[in-house]
Amino acid sequence: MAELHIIGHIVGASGFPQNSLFCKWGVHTGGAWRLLSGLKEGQTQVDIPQTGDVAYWSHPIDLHYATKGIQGWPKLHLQVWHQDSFGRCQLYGYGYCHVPSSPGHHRISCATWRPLGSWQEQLAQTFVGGGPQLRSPDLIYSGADRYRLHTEAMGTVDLELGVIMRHFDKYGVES
Amino acid sequence: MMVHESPTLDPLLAGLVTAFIVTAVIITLLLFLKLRRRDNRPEFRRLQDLPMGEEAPLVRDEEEDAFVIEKSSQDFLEVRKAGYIGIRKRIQREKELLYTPSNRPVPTSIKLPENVQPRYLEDEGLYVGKRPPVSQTNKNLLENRILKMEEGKKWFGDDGSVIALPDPIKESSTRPPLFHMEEDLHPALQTVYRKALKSKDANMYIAGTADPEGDYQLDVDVSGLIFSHHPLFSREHVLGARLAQLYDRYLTRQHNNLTGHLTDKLNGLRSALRNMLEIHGGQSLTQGMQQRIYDYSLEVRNTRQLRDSEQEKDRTLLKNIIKVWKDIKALREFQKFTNTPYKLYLRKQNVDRASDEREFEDEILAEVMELEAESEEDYQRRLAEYKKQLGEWKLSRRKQKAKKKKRKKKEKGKVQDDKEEIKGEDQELSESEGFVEEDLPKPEAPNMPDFDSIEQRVREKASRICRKPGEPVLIPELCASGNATASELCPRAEIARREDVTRRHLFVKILYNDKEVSRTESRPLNTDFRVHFGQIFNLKIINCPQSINLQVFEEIGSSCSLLAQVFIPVPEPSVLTGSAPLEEFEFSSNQRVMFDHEGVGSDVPLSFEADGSNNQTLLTSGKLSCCVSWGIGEDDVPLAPPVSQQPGGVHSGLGRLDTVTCIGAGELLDIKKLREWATQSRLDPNDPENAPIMQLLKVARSGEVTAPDYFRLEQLQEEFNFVTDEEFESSKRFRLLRLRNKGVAEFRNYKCVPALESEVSDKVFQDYEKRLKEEDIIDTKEHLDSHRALVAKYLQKIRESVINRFLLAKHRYLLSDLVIEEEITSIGFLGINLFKLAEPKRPLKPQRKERKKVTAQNLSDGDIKLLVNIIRAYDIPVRRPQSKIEKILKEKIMEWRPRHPTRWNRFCTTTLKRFLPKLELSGGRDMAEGHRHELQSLLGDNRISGFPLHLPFSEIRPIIEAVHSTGVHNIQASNVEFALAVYVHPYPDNVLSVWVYLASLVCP
Repeated sequence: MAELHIIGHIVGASGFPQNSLFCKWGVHTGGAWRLLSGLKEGQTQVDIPQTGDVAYWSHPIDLHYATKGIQGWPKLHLQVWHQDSFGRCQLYGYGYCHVPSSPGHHRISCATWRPLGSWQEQLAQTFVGGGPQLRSPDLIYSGADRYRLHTEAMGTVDLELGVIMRHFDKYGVES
Repeated sequence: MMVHESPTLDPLLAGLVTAFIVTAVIITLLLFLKLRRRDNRPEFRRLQDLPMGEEAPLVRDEEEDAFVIEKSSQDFLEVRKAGYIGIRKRIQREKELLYTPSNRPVPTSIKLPENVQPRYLEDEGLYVGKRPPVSQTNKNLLENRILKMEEGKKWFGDDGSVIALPDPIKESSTRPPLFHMEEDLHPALQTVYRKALKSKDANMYIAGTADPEGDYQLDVDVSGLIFSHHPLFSREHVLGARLAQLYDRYLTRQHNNLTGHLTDKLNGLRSALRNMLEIHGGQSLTQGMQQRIYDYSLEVRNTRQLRDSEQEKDRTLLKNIIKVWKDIKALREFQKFTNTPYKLYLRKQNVDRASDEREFEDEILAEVMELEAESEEDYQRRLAEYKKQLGEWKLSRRKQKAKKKKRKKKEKGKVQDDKEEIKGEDQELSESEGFVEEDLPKPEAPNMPDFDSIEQRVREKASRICRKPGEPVLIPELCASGNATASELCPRAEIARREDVTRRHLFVKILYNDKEVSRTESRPLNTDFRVHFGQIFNLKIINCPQSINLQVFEEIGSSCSLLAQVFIPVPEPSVLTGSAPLEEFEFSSNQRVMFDHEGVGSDVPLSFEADGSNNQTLLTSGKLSCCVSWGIGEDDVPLAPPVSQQPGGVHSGLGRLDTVTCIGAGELLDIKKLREWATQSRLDPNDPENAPIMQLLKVARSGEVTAPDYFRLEQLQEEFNFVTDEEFESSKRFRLLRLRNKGVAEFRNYKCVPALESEVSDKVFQDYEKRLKEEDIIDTKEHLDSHRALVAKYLQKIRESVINRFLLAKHRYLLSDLVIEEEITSIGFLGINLFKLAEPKRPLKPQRKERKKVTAQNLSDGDIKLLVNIIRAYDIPVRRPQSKIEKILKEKIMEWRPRHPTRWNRFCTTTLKRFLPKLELSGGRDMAEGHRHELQSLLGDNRISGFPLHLPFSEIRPIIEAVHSTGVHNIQASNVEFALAVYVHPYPDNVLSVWVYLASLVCP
C-alpha cells in the first residue's frame, strides 16, 4: 500500500492574450487510487496583474493518496478562464499534465489550448466574447483521438509540485 | 425632423477643462501679481520709508538693495534656447562615424566572382520557388551593406541575388474548413459555443464536469387540478366527491387485488403444510422439520389474519359505496334537481351456487381446524408452562417447610404451636391447591365447548366480512354519463351557486426558489370542479434548486386570492422529461368560506342527517396533477446536473438539497441497507406491492448497479496490484486518514495519525463503530416512548448534518470573508451622528439596531453577542418592598393589639418618612436627637416615644420580629396613636437596607 503526497502550488499563467485570469483545476486518478486527505479540485482567484502579463495565483495543492497500483497515476487537469471587465467569464484554455513520478521538487509548465470554432463563432468571439467549449471536458485528460478537433495554442500554466513517495519500493517500484 | 440634442459632456473631459481653466486663471493671476509687484516697487519701498515713531530706520536707502529678493533669480539663472546643430553639419559629423549604405542598385558583376556569368536556374527549367517579397530599396540597401563586409560575396547566389528560401507562407489556409464536419464529429470532440457569462456561486468548483454555468432545465408540467372539496360544492357535490373517492379506492384495491393474492398465498401455504404432514405423517419428525412446520403454521396464521382484514376492508368499502350512492339518490329526489353526472351501476355476477357453497364450507372447515390446532397448541404450551411453574412452586414450598421445621426444633416450642403450625401449613396447602385449581385449565373441559364456539365465531366472522355463498358478486361501476338539471329548472339558491361557479377562474403560479418565475393562464372553474391547464414551463436554471412551489390562485372578477400552495420535490437527476409520469399532489386550505346560496362553504359544519347530527367540517382541498422533471436538450442530452459528485467532496451538488431529503435519500439509496432490511422483514416476492423493491434488489444482486460507470482498461489492473482490495480496505491508517478528511466527528480533530500501520490501535475505531451500530437502533430506555426516541435520533441526525454543513461552509468564501473593506465615512454619516446626539439615551421604545455581520468563518471567541431587546413586560418585580413592608407591619401591629383600636397618625408618619432617608445618608449618627426635638416641636404637646430600627433586608420575618421586640404595641393607653414609617435604600447586588421608624404618640 504505497502512498503519494503531492504538495505544491499553481504558480501562475503567462502567454495568454489577455490577463485577468483564473484557473479551475482538478486531479484525476485511476480506480486504484484513494484520496486520503486534501482537496482534489478547486479554483483560484482572478489575478489582474498591474505590470507584466503573468498572472500569479500561488494556489496551494496538498494531496495525499494511497494506491494499490501505479495505473492511473494522478493527472492534473486545468482550465484557464478569463474574466473580462464586465465580470463575464470565458474559457481561455484547457491543459493537463501528469504529476511527476519521481520524488522531489518539480517545476512544470503546462501548455494549454482551446477549441477553435467556425468563422462565425470566431467572429462572435472577437466582438462579444465567449467561445467554443468542449462538451465533455473529460477529453482534456482522456486519450481519445483528437485529430478532428481544431484548436489554437494558448499560454502556459506554471506549477511547482513536490512529490513524496512512500512504500513504493516495497512493491518493486524504484524511484 | 429636427432633434435638439443637448450634447452630453463626458465628466472626465469636463474635469480636465475645469482644471485647465483654473490653472490658467491661477497662472494669469500670478503673472499679474508679479508684474504689479514690479510696478509697485517704488511704492513698496516707500512703505519702508514711513516714519516709525521714534525708532530710526534699520537700514539706509543705499544699503537696501542688498536685501531685495527679486534680484537672485536673475542673478543665478540663465535662460538659453535649445541647442541645435544644423542638419548638414550633423551629417557631416556623423559621416566620420557611421556608414550609410547606398540605396542604388548594385551591378550584378560586383556581386559575382570575377569573370562569372550569372546563372538563372529557372531558365534551366529548375523549380526555384517564389522568393519572399522584399522591397527593392531594402534589397539594395542590404546588398550594398553585405558587399562591404568581409566575404560578403558568399551571401549571393549564382544568379547574383541574395540567397533566399522560398516564401514559407502559404497563400491559403491549410486548416480544413469546419462547417461540413460538424455532423460526424465524435461526441467527445464536439464543442459548444458558450457566451461569456457572469459566473455564479452555484457551481464554483466544477472543473471536471461539463457546464460551469449549468445549462440545466427543469420542465414543470402543470396538467390540471381536481377539487375534492370546494366551497362552492353543493351537497350533492360533496356526496359525489365522496363517492368518486371511494370508487377510486375500490379501483386501486381491485387493481392490487391484495385479497386475492393473500388467499392464494394462504392456499399455497396450507397445501404445503398438508403435504409436509402427509409425507412425514407416520414417522417421527426431526427437530428441523418441527421447526419448519411451526414456521409454516405461524405464517398461515399471519396470512389468514391479513387476508381477513383485507377482505373486511373490501366488504366495508363496497357497503360504503352503496350507502353513499343511496344518499345521493335520496338527495336528488329531495332537492328535485341533479348537479352531478355520477351514476353507479351494480353489476351482478352470478356464481355457481353449489361449488360456491362447497368452497365456503371448505374454507370454514380449514379455518376451524387451524384455529383448533392453534388453541390446542396454545393450551399445550400453557399447560407446560403451568407444570413448570407448579414444580417450582412446590420446590420452594418444600424448602420453606424444611426451614420451618428447623426453626421449630430450635425453638422447641409447644405442641399447640406445632399444631397451629400444621394447621397453618394445611391452610397454606389448601390455598395453594385452590390457586392451582384456578390456574389449571382442565385438559378436556374448557376445550370441548371451545371447538363449538370456534366454529360459531368463524361463521360469524365470515358472514361479516365476505359475501354469503351463492350470493352474486357485486361489481360497482361508476360513470359520469348522467346529465345535470338545466339551470332554469333549479331553485334560486342553486342558480346563484352555479353563477358563482362560472365567475371563478383559477391559475397557478410557479415559484422557483421562492421567486415567481411563471404562471399559467387563468382558466374557468368547470361545473365538475376540474380545471385543465395543460401547460409546460421550461425553467432554465442557474441556481441550485431549493424549492419548487406551485401556488393555486382563485380569481373572482379582478381580485384573486391564494387558495393553497403545493411544494413539489426537486426531481432526482435521473428523472427526465418524457419518462416522468404525472403525479397528483394533494393540497388543502383552511380558509373559512360561507355562502348564502347552495354552496356548502369551507370550514363550515355540514350535516346530511335530517336532525342535523353527525356534523362534519370540510376544508377546501384537491389534487394538483403536475410533473417536474429535468429537460432534454436538442441532441438528447439531459439538461440535468451530474448525478452525484464524489462522496466527501467539498461541494455538494444537488444531492444534498436540505437536511431532510439528505437524510431520507441517503437511507433510500443505500441498496445494501435496503437488502438487509428486505431479508430481515421477509418480503413476499410475489406481492405485487413489493415488485419494484424486488426488482431493484435483483438488479443490485446481479451487480449491475454497483458496476463502475466508466470503462477503463482496468481489467489488467489485478495483475499489477500491489495488494488486494481487502488488504487495501482494511488498512487502519488509511481508514483513519480518510475518516479524518471526511470530518467524521470522532476523528475531526485527530492531530497525529501514526506513520506506521502497526501503530494504529483498534481502539481508535471502537467509539465510531459503536455509534454506527447504534445509529439504527432506537434506544427507548432513555426516553419515555418510542416517538420521543425517534425524534431525539432525528435531532441528532440534523445536528450532524448542520455540523457538516458548517464545515462545508468553512471552505466557501465570499468576497467579504477574504477582503476586509471598511466603509468610508461620508459627510452624511457625520450628519446622522450629530442627529444622534439629540436622541434620548434610553429610548422608550428601542428599535432594532443593525449589527455588523460576522460570517461563520471569521467567528472568533468574543464575536457572538446576544442582544435582547425587551419591548414590554408586565408583573415585573420592582425593588419596592418599601410599601409592602409598611403595610405588613401595620397589619401586624393591629393584629398584636386585638382589643384596642389602633390609630395611625398620618402627620407624624409623613414626617418620619422624610426623616428616614437622612438617617440612611448620615449612617444614623447624631441625627436622631436633633430630629426628635424637631418632631416634638411639630407635634406639640403629644408625648412621643419611638426609635428607628435599622436592618438589612432579606426576608420579612426578622423585621416583624424586631418590631415586635420593641414592645411598642403593648401600650394600653386608650388615647395612643402610632406612627410607622419604612424606608428602603437599595445598594448594588440586591443589598437593601431597611429603616423602620416606629413611634407612639400619647395625647394629653
